[in-house]
Amino acid sequence: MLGLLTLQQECVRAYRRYADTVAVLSAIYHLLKKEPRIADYVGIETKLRNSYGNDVRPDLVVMYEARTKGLVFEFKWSLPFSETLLEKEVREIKKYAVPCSQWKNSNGKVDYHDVVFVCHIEDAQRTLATLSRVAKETDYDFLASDGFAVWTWTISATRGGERREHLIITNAYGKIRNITIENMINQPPGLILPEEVLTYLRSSFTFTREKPPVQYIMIALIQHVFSQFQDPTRGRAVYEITTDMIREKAKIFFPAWHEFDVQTVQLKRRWITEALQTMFALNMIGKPVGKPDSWLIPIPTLKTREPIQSAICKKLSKRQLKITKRPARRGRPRTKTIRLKAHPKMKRINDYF
Amino acid sequence: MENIGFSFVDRTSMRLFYDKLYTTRGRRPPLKALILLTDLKVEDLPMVLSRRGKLSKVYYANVTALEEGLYRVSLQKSIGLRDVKREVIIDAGYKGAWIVLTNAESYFITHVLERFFEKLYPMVSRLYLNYSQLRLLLKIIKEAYRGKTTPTFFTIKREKRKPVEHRIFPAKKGTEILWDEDVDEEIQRLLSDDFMVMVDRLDFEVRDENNAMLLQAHITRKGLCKLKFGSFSAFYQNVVLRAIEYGIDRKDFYDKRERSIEKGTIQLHPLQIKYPFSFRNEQLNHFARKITNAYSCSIIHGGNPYFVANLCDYEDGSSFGVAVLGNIITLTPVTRATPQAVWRLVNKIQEILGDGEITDVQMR
Repeated sequence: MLGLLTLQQECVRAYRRYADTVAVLSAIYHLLKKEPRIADYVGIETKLRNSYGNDVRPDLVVMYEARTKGLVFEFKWSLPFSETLLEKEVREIKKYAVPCSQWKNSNGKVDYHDVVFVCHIEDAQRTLATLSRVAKETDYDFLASDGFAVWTWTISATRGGERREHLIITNAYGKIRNITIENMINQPPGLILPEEVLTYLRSSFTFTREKPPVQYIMIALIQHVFSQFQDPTRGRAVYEITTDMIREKAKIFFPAWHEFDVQTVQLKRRWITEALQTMFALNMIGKPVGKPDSWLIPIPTLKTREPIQSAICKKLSKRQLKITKRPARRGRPRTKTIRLKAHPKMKRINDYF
Repeated sequence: MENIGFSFVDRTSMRLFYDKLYTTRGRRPPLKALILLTDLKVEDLPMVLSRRGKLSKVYYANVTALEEGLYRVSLQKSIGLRDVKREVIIDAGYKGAWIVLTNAESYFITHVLERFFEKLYPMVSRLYLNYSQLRLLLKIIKEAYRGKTTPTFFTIKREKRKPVEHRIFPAKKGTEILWDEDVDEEIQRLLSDDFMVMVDRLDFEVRDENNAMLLQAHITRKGLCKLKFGSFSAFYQNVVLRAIEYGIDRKDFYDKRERSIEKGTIQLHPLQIKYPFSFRNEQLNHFARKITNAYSCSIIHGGNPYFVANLCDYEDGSSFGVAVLGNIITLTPVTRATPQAVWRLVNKIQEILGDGEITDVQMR
């Protein structure tokens, strides 16, 4: 069983990893949007229909060569350590790789489209091993052919401040058929993104399409959403807020919120509800009696002198350990026997008589 | 020490009284003019105080109107077992600002008056100035007086950017007074000697063409002006009102910066603080500690030396993204970025890392 500190570190690591993945999405979004010579930006989470008749929403969709070819990006903030689960994730890519319709051009079709799978450099090695194995299967041979690539990202470290940090995207596997992008990504040390992506462009989005870890949603709610309900004249106060009010304020943090269908709205609402329920379980917020969809939220919700992600991860880890360790209770609860001990300076009661 | 005067009933009698008092040579406490930016009405002060539960237990304020836009406010604070009580004049004649006038002792100013208004944030905001802004303001004052302005000294706070190992007695952080008209050189020397420099206060005097003293005053980085000698009317017109005009102009600079979506495109309105040196790990660790004490802070990168964090103002609810890369700090307001919250954060960052140059960032 993992210790408290390890759990806490894992929790903070997941928070940071998701935040960085959002930054990478923002970076590629801005790069493609500002450079139409590379490709036409279509959208984030744009709906396509694949040949199985299912609607798919890749993280980012672009088109090029007069919108006759397509390119879709799938971002993964974290990939499972379990081989079975990782294999499942790899097999999921197929839904984007098969021919799709409803492209944003006159006939809704493209000659072909490529798929780019973007993950953190730490996950790349495991992913590539699984991918090579799956690619041997006939149904998944697209993984070994042109039109599929795995990109990884990293923030370059500096030594003694002699050069600045950069967000670098490198090609770890495969090849796409857009020559311009392929040349950019294959030049050493990789595609160096402009400095702004590490500074202000990070704040463009807060979420990707993939579900964030619960601590990430909690922090986003505390810092960016609950604070919007705050009445500065009241100081710290408890506000009764419904889940829908929270969702309404939170929706602009999702990149493609204005294109959401009912199903996606419900999905995002579930993320928020899960975070609220976790906060309730951690006694950070309350619930009014008889109002199942309302919450009693103190704003500011968490005042701490340590980084908020550490404070929340500490609470979450403690709770997780408590749940894991809690033994099944049977029968009457045990009571501690109180034994009184006389202090050496105390007198015996008989001395008074 | 009791307040001097306060027998006046309107602006004219106030001006006459202070003009006479501060144009004669003698020992007396300087007149303090605290500049505050707010849209509140002075009459609402007791009501605002009552809504703040904790504050109303410690402070008591009673407001008496003297004439339109001029009030006498009796302010009391319980400090330990004693009550500290003084009267101040609040001039709310200038739209969007209050001028709090008093000649009470420094203890009252620091422990009662300034703290009281700081606790009223975000409804009441201070006027924050850095080194280059103080210099610019001095230039404006000089033009207003049409005389010769001489900064007599700057008070600066300095702190080493990296630990000094080769000295037996390392130069520690502290306050230094620079007695020079052109302190730029001295500040450059300190910067090149690995110091972070924050100018705290600027003392200056204004003389006419015959070298006769017109004004002896000072202004702090938090908008507290002190009149030591000179005509009150001229000080009010040329220093206090000029500082307010400059402050309101700065407030506009920090306004309308929250993240917005126009025609489906995200619009960010970041600003940057530029420094003549690149930050080191130790500085960023120090920054992380200090900023976490004051703001709700989630750190994504703690400094290698790339620092990224999301901040939320506890009192105001404004939220920001902060990134430190090389020698530049980028501040990106996210939601509900009120101008007073942005301004306060910019000042807080400079209080921790030293004064820098504030610039707007145009999104490309």
